[in-house]
Amino acid sequence: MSTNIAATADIAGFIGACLVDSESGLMLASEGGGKLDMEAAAALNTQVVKAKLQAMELLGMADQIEDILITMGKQLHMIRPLEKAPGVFLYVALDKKAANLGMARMQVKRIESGLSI
Amino acid sequence: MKLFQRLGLGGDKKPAYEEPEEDQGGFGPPGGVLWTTPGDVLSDRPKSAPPVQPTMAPALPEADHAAPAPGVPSSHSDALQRTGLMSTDIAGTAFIAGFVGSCLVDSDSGLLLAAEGDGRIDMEAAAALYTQVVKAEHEVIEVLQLEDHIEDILITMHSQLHFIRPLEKSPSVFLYVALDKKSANLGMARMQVTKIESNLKM
Repeated sequence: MSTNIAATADIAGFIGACLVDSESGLMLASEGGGKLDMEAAAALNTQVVKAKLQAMELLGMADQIEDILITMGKQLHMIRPLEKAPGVFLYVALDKKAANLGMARMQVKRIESGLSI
Repeated sequence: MKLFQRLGLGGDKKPAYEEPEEDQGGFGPPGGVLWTTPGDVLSDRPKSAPPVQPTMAPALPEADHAAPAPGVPSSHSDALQRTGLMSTDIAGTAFIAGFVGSCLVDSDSGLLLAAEGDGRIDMEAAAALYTQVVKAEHEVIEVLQLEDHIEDILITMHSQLHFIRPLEKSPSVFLYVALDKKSANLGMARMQVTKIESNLKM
């Protein structure tokens, strides 16, 4: 088992990151955060993932989520279910001004592939 | 009468149409001058009949009267769009590489406002279901007190890419676009979706 997500802190614009069990909405690991309540973020983003999974199921899409990128006015949020354990997702919040969506996406992908549950 | 003029049924036909009305008026009361020339009345009939036809024909286009382009189905939303108050034209999404389907959704109700695509995705259902995704994301922003708004949500799957983009001018309405991942270009698609969204008006 490896839940080390410390490398997310190296992503440009890093605010906070966490590893979440989407069955329970509970946090498995967290990094950074500061003003951002990662515990709440974990629970709330679980709702986003569940809504998406339900949409896929009811629309009859036999597919898997690779990632969900949420662009806001000031922040970028990434949700990436682990390939090996789709019930668990990595959540990363970045400052939009400093972040590079393409770069961040690659880094998150690399970090995710190193995780195992 | 204005209707006929707008439809291009010239004014020269209008008096031709009104004439028979006078003839019929004269034809009604038995006796009088018309009875002495029944042949004239009968011969007048075929002459006056054709002008009556155009009055019947425009009766159908009357519904389309507000729609300048014939053949285009007329509806209330079309009328709103022509007035410039509303624009829900998302046809441009069909030109995005890898296009599968798209729709415009009112996230307050989860109802569809416009849809494009060949039916591979049940847009009515997608509208309702993705409203849940948007609502969940709004809750994240609200509860975490991010004091921010959603610009877009990109969902990458193994075979498809999905975009959700709330309209800047009316954030409760969002544009949803589904693309085939193999032929889509994430960066290009995002720019195109942004451009189409900026032209929509509610």
